[in-house]
Amino acid sequence: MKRLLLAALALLVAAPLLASEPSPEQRIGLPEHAGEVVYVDFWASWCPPCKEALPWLHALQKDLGEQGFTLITVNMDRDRAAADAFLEKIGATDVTMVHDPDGAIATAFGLEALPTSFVYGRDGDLRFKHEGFSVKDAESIADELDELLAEPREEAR
Amino acid sequence: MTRRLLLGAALLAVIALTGCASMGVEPWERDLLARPAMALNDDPIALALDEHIYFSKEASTGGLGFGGGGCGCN
Repeated sequence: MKRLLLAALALLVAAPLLASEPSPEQRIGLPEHAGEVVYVDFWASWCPPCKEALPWLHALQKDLGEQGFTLITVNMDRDRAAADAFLEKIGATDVTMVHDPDGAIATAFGLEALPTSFVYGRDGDLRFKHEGFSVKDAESIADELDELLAEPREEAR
Repeated sequence: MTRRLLLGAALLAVIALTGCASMGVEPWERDLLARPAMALNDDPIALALDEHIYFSKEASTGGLGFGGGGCGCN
């Protein structure tokens, strides 16, 4: 009887721990980049506009990395090899990539199109969301990023 | 009798509606649809050629529009 009670108690304590799944932001490692401007890009290797955006994003990471810019990509390919092959082709194997073949993270983010990007400010709040990509958008997105990067780091929570 | 019929019709309508409950492909599930082979027109030049031949051969019946006399000279 006592053992049963103890087991029930243990279950009660463990239940919330088991139930609390990591948030989508946690799953892509966003909390690790507090105080940085984080660009989360959902892409797939079969999606032409995504393929257009990635080399540009990779270049941004190189240019703005020192100022506190972080790129996290979420790949939606069923087969990870296809994604890796594409990154290799454009010479961007150093890009952070989370693989989400079943769309669990995408669903949590409420994704409606590919590519979609979410831009978080230094304060960790979602500041911009872009659906689709065209080279024409590059300039305005870069302006937004400059604006976010110019915000003081001290404000970070 | 009419009441039962009405109920039946309503039931059928509800069942039919549930068929639309899970419509739509999620954006990340469109990889197969994105393949070139899935395009309605994957080779525009070949299609234009085919259509020109069709138009010229079938011109006597109007072809793809209504002009032409079947001379094949269009």
